[in-house]
Amino acid sequence: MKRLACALLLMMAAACHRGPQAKPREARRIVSLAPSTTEILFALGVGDRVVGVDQYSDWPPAAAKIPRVGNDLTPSVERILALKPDVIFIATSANSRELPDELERIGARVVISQVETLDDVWRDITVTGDAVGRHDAATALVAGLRARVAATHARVASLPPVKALVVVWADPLTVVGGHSFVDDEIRAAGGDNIAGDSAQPYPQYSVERMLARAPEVIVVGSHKAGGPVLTPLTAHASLPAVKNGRLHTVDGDLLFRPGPRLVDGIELLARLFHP
Amino acid sequence: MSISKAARATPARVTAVTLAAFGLAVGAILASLVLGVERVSLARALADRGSLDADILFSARAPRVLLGALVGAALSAAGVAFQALLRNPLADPYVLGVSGGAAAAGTAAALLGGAGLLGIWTRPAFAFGGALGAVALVYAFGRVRGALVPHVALLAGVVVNALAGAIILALRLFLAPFALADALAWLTGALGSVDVMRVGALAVYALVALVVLATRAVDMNALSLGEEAARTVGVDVERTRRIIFFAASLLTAAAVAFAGPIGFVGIVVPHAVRRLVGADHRLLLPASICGGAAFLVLTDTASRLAFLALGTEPAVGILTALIGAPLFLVILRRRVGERAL
Repeated sequence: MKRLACALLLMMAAACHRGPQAKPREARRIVSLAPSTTEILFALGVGDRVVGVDQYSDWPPAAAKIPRVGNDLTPSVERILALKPDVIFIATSANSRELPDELERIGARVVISQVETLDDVWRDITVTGDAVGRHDAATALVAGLRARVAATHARVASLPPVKALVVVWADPLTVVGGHSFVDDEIRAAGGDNIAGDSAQPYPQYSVERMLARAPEVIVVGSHKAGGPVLTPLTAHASLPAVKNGRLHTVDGDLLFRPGPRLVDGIELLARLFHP
Repeated sequence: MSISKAARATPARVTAVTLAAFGLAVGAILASLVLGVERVSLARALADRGSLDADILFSARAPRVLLGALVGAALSAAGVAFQALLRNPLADPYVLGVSGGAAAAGTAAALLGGAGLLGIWTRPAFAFGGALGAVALVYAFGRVRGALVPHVALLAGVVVNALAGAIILALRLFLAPFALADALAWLTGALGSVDVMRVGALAVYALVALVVLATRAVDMNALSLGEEAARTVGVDVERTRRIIFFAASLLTAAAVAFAGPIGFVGIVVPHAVRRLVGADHRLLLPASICGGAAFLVLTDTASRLAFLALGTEPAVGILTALIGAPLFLVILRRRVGERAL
């Protein structure tokens, strides 16, 4: 309840910044505290104005050369101040709730992105574009991305949905549940998420239930540090996905980052679901 | 811990209590094999090893239930041992720093994304190494003139755990969000997906340590009466303390390596068992080993089923703490009440 209240307050605070009275001026110095926002800014053509990023912002390669302002949960406020940003982007999924208040007190414009569904991603790109004075570029980017998703979906829409499971972490088994943009990605790619009825976006999932629901395709999103451990999945010979060689490892950043590359992720999923 | 209770530990009673406790543990294991998230036909599972029923039962459910039994037995036995060593019924298996060392190193393993050179063994190996490091530290600083002194070791353990807590918080700054969630789940104490290999490895190892502890039951009785009394009955106090310290620490280290620091098992089970069979370690130790197995297996089954409506399966450590803490308070209150009479 308290979290919800906080979230609502933050959304209201964010709405104020995006209100019509806050005339979007050209942002010259930008700090991004989320890898997805960094990717969006580069896709909007303002990558050269990003003066500071969080430690996980590693795409596109040019982003790796931008000064780091620390971990996304506890960035260095001093370092952000020293960069004299016009605007600071924060993702509520990754950053603490107190951080925006702290940054606002020091007089920076703070834009908070909150992404739960695929539609939120499109909205977030538009909001980000507006905040840096790139409204038209953002509109065009969203239109292009949505057209690619629509084209992918059109190819698979007439085919029977494939029973699929997207694994975030294999041991202990953590998967993509319902109410998340990744769940929307699975659907757009012609998949039927066997864990889609879970109330949580990324639940720790019952191994027994996975076996019983017998996914035809399992996609494991890998993370930067090392390859994923697949043994807990390959140990189950009765899984159709394992039996038929349809257990795939893909770059997790394409699936789990709510930025423009997520469309690459959807196209990749569609190829794996419906080869 | 009176002599009169110790005197009642006749061979016949030891056998009866041990068998009864063993029966309880076997019953809990069988019940947990039958009760699960998915309905399984035992007949089909046994008839057709390639069936879905067989896969669920033998490759998902059974290893987890057996791991729970082993970890529960190990933690309870270690709890009994540390309580005798420190002469304090409030001691738990983690009080001497073992969990801290394991937790810090296990979190460090998450930096490798759970997939180092050792694959699925990465975290158990790291956690076990960390636990051994903590045990070595506590042993190095817990001695006075070469002899292990329980209350000094206790202080060293508290400090090692605090240091480990700081290391974990520092490591968390470097973990990616998903790895962070995974590390947190493990730190809560989780019987995740396991395979027969890992369960087998733990079984062999734990059995050795359990037998070592079981052979020291009489010495634990003597230690409980105090250092002087123990010497009077001819116990080599230093040597016994060392053996109990290392056997219990190594047992805890293995349990934590596989399942994370599951709380309250090592303190609630010995307390409950002590109320039922008395303080004689010849009864207390075997009954606690079996009781611990039964407790953790049943709690894990409950946690698998309790959150089913949410479509998730949280770490068992949450439930052991939710059940264990109030249970402990009730036991504590009743003990205090009896003494007041």
